[in-house]
Amino acid sequence: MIDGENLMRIQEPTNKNRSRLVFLFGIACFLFVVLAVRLGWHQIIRAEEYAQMATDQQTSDSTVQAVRGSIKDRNGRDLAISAATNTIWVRPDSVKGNGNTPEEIETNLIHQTAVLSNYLAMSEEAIREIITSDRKLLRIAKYVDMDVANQIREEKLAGIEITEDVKRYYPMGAFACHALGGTTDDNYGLAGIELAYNRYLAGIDGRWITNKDNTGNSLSYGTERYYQPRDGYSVILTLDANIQHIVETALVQAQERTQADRVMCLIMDPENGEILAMAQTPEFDPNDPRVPMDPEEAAIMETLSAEDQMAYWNKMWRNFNISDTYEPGSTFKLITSGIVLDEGAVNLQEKFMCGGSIKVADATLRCWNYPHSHGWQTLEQAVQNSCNPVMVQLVQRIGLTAYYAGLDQFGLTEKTGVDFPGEGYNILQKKETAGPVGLATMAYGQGIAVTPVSLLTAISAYANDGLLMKPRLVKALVDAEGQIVEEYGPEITRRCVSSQTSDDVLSIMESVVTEGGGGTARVTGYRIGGKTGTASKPEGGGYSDTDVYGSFIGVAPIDDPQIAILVIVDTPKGVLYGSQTAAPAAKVILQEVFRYMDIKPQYTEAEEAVLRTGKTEVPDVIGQSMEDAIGILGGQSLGFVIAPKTDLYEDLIVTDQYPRSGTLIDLNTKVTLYYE
Amino acid sequence: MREKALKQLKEGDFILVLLVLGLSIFGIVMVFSASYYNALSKFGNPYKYLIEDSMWVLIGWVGFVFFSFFDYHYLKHLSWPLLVIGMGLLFLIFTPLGLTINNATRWLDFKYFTVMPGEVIKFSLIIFLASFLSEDPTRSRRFFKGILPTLLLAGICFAAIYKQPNLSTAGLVVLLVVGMLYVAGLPRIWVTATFIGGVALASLAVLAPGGEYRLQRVISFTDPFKDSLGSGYQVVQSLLALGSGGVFGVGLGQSIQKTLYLPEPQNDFILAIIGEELGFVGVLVLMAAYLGLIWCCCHIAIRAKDYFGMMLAAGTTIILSLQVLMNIAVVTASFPPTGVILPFVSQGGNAMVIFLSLMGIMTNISRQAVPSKRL
Repeated sequence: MIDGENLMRIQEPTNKNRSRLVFLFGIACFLFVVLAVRLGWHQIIRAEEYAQMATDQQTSDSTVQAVRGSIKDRNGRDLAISAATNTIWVRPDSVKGNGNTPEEIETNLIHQTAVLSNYLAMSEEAIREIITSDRKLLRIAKYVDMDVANQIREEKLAGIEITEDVKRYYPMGAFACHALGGTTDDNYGLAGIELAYNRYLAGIDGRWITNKDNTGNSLSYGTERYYQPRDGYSVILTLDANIQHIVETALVQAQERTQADRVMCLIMDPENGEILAMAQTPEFDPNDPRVPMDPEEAAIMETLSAEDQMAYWNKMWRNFNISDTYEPGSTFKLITSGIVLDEGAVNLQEKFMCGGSIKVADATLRCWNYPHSHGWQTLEQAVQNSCNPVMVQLVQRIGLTAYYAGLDQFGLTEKTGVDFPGEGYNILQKKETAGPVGLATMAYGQGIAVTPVSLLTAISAYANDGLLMKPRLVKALVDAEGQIVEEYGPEITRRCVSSQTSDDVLSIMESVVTEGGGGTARVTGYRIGGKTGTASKPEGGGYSDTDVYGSFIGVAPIDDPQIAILVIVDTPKGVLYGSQTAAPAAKVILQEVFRYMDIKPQYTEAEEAVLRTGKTEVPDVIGQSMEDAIGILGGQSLGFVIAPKTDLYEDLIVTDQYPRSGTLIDLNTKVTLYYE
Repeated sequence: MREKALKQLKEGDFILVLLVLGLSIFGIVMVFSASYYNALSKFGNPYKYLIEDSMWVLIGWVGFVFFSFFDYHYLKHLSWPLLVIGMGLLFLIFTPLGLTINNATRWLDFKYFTVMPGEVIKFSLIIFLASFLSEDPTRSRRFFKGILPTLLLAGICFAAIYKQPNLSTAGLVVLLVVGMLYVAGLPRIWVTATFIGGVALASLAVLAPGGEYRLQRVISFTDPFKDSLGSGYQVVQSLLALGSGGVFGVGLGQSIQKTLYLPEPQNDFILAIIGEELGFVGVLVLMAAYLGLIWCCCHIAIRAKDYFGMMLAAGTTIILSLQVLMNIAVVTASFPPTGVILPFVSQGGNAMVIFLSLMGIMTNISRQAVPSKRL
């Protein structure tokens, strides 16, 4: 204890104490200056660098998705639209730190896992694995419906974030799937129109730059910049959903009827090159493009290896009408006819001899009815009879150079330039190496392969006064406000034949339907021109005996052509001929399309008589090829039976028929056809 | 009388009162600015730290007023009890009362409030040493009668605080004791010896078992960016805040680094937020204020009318200078991150009350001081 006396005995501080204090203060002053300099170093010299690092960690730069434009048919019906969906994200760090004690964290984690598993229909193990991973931010689920997303939002789970984004949706499912194509998960065009017009459809994403706190939440202050997204344009197709629907229905029926691998159809407006319908079976659903629509096929696909799956998808998504080539067969005779007519190498009265075969260089090229022969025929009759030797004689007249020049004129030696990705190249014989035999076989459509779109475009020129049009799939681009941004009008590629030639070929095409093998495409009351074709599919180095492309190409109505149509049946089973496979499908389509387009029938006297009596005269088909015979009978609304039954594709010739020609029989009666 | 009172007020360092008042009000503002986002995210109440801090400041000012009227000579009577209390609290840490946060047991949990014995012991030591040395000023020159017991006391405190672990406060306490001894008149040879001893002790602390944790802190101090997500995280965030502030700052309340980037921005690293919001200029003004305050304290020590007052004032001056310097050094990556608060400004607690009380004692010393003329 300090007593009172001690308290009074006050010690005086000395000057030494004071000077030491001042010395210490001096040291403090010095250190203050040093630290001030150090501070200045950070806040002035290094400031920019530090500020940049700070900005990097403090700024969130998020994309504001532009809405992808929709795809509509020519009448404005939505074929592909973009709809908002939700994506659920998680920040695992927040989940793992949700609570003060390990037990509390575990409880919260279990609760969170259960809630998410319940709403998202995912297993608890899977969710737990995701929300406790080492990543900073990752996705739990996408394409979550708005109401589910809202329910999850209501749960206020730690570390769970929900973003709204846009998903591509095809309201009509598989409808026009090959034309539309599809998109990737992040809305980039994958195929078809989606890919070709991706640039316009996609729009320009906006950005939202804002300051955020260390857990990613936006701050209400600091910098904020918002760049408005520019929504994509909508694409208005030339396709007509009604015609497309007619076509797709007919193709499904045709595939069922012929048991074909695939059936394709392309319809074009010959006057302006607009593609009105483009379809093929089997279809896929672009909403779920990786799963075949046929459950059996889907099951098979599941078992394939990843590589084979990819191949399977590519085949399923591939648009045959544009990307693939096929052997046109006899339909190509229409092109040959046009070229030689336009060259003035032949007149329609002139007759040519078919001796059943023709010798070209060292080769003997047979007509399909060899050892029989067609005898003397005009060009028109030769096309009706699908006579090969006459075609060979015709091209020999004009020669290789003129023939290839003709093919150039028809645009068959180049791409059509259709606004669709992945257009295939036609496979013609090389001009330099074709030689006389190559030229001769090409004349009747063998040894070449063309894309459906290029052939239909070429044939359409006959229906357009000889003007070759560029085929088009898109009419216009429309912005989000519905204003037309860009309009695509008809584009004339060139005049490929004279007006006279096109009229001549049209009349030949009409005669094929009314009198020749194209009759199965005939629709009573309408003037239709066309030609069927059957070509063996290449197989190994040669040609298949059983697998064929049966096709029909046509124009209607002849006096005022409004549509050009091409139907291709890939590998039908049973009866293989174009007249039996493709032409009937074309007939169904034309019938419906005429009705839809409000083209009124105009019956001839004979047709009216048939309609009145319900009876028709049996035509004479003896000596015709089986293919043509079927077509001719079809033209009179008569059916057929082949005896004996055959599945093999051979150039069969009708040797006898029952009932005999000239007999009056009921419509739709079957005529039995015999062959050797 | 009145004239004398006015003079006393003047001598009682009007400037000191102004500076302390200014600093504590500035502190409340900055604590609120730095903490509201943190408080809002953690507790849903942006005013949590503001309210707590204001309360501590208020209590601190009660202490200030009390001690400014309480004749400091009576503190001599309290020197032993205060030391016993201070030491007792230090050892209570190792009882279940100790509160562990972030692997360090630096607090005592008294349910309604927490006490930091490391802060209390500073107060106890200043008063005890001032009293001990003033009883016989020759003690500072005599080894067995003065120097050894003093250093032993410092050593015990150091060991106890070091165990928490809280190396910086332990070091501060030793520096405080050594500084007071120095002012008291420690022979030069001893000054040198202590300096060398201090250095040796510091290196021993790093090399001793468990030193890895401390070594890590030292490493992170030399290049905080090397481990910017680990041991260097706080300092990196502090530097980014300073850099963002630049010369003039982003403006009061506009700091972004305080939005959960810099942990506990209202505490040890509040200067970083001040630097971000008010810029280099703002921090310079603040540093000038501190330097002014330190000079005031120094001046009071010099003018103190007796040895006890001089030592009290000197101890206060030393601890104030050390804390300010250390805190700025940590925030500017010039010293390992330690956990030393910025007096009067960092979010209050025991330290706020103790510093304001010490300032109250300073004004009391000043009132009784000899007029400047006599010096």
